[in-house]
Amino acid sequence: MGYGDGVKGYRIWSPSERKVLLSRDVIFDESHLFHPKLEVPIAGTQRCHSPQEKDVEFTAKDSEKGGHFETSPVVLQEGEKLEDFSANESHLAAEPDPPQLNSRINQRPKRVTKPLERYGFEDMAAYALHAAEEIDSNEPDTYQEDINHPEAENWLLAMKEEMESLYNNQTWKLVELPKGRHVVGCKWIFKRKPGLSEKEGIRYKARLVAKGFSQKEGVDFNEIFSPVVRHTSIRVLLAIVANQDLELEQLDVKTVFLHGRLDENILMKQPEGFEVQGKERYVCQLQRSLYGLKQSPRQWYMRFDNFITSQGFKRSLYDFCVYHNKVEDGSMIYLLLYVDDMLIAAKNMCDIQNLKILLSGEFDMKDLGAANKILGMEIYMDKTQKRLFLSQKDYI
Amino acid sequence: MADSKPISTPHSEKEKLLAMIKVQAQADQDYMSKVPYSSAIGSFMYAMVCTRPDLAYAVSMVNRFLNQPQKEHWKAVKKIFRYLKGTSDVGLIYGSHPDCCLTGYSDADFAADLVKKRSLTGYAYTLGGCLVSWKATLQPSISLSTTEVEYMAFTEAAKEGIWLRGLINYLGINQEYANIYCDSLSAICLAKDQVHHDRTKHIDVRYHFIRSERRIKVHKISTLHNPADMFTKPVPKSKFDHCLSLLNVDCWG
Repeated sequence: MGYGDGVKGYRIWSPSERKVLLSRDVIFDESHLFHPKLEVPIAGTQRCHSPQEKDVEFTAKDSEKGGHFETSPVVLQEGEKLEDFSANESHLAAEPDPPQLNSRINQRPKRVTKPLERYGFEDMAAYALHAAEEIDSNEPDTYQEDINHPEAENWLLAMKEEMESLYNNQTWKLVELPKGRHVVGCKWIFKRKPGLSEKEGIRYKARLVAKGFSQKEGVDFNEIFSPVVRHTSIRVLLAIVANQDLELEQLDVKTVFLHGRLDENILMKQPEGFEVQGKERYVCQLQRSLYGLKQSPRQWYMRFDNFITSQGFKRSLYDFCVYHNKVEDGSMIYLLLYVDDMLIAAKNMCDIQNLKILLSGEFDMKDLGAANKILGMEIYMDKTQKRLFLSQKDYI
Repeated sequence: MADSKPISTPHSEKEKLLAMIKVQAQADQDYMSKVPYSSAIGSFMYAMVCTRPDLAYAVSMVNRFLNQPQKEHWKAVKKIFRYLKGTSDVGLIYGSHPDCCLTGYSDADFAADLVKKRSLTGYAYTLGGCLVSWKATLQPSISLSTTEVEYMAFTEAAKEGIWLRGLINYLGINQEYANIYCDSLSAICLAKDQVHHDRTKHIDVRYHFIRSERRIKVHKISTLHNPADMFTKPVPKSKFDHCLSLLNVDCWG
């Protein structure tokens, strides 16, 4: 009949008990079609037919003039029908399958969608802002779209690559679904990226992300706060770099969130298109944090923090993403972390090199050389005049 | 917008924007519904937060009307676009300075918001001549006098100063205190000495904490040379350029 007000769950009409129930434990029967002949108007909007013990079909229908409403036939199968469903929370079955429209509902006239009439292109500013959003279209949104996409081969290759790196990192192991456990969904994200060099051409990237929004607090995640550096701290560091004429280098962590380890036991559906044969009903028990999970940034930050403090670095009390250490000759080496970007500043280049080696031993790093861009701020260095310039020319 | 003429300041000097109470004409309403007002402001904000303190006042002005922008406000937004067009290569210049000390400037504008009568706080911090932190924001409460407004702005600046001082001390540059310059003598007196006056009775704990604060030091500066002035008022071009040069905001080269 629809969803309950203010609670998670379906409202269900149970003719055998002749009352309306709230339950999250619902299985939709899509194989049964209801018979229009059997519909008899009953007071209100509900009607039902052929009540069979625990296997009940029902539908709701508006009166003749109004046209059909949104329901599809539903069968309750040995689900606990609880008015107080919260008591039922501990043994919830898997999420109900999405109700598929049956043939009858497909016949109803579709609502004509009108294109939005915002952005009348009154002037170029409006146009430019709008155009920027449109640029990166023509990438498949879902797996279904992808396999029908003209460039399906490239995308498939990209997905295989991603799967390989996930296997190599031992991101998960397959387990049978324990009864009553909550499972998080996942999704493929496709992105076209310009090649690093001229001859390489366009790169096709596929990334598997978890549907973090379906995680449940207390079950799938507890703490999710993760600090990021303040813009002011970055500028303070750059000011010190300019004043003391330090070397400034930038590093990037590849597949940053896959480095984090999980405290919680999270189960995820197998990725679309890569279900293991014979184990289709198995689920992935995540060992590493994955993109999209709510706690991923935090787990990464904790991992990095543990590692860097174990190497003798001290964390600032004023900004949790600023670290420093004293090197042998008494000068300082600074490290600034912004999720997967790092800025390292020190007097001597060899100190920076040592730190880089240390970090690449622990994480999968990419060395970007002298820093030229952080958080959209472009950095220009002028060693001869000991000057440094910050701007956003490209952005503006 | 691409072939518009660049202008020298992002705001108009004469007028302050008003959230108009009178009902808009239908044509204007239709026009405004097609305008990407909030996304334009979002883009300004990003630039302003990163490297463009010169936009701070103009952006704080237009983003007060986000919930119901009118044609006047959109005009102001277009002015910012025109200003940006002429100044796309402006940024922060960091150089070396003999003494790397932390200096702050604070300023305020009394009843800057013409409808709600709230006042504006503006401050800027430089570290060895490099601009590192700035802000232009409306004060949370309504004040009764210019002294009080300056005093509140000063307190805000002091809070940021204490944080910055902590951070750079941690980074190995010893600063006993942060110097803060304020152009209001009465606010300085209020902060330094336990001056008591009938009109300052209501100023309470939150704003008096700076009296016992040893991590900052207050100095007087003439309004003419206070760079925080541009965060609180629509200053004319000559003053605007002067403020920017004081803060080392310029083109590269």
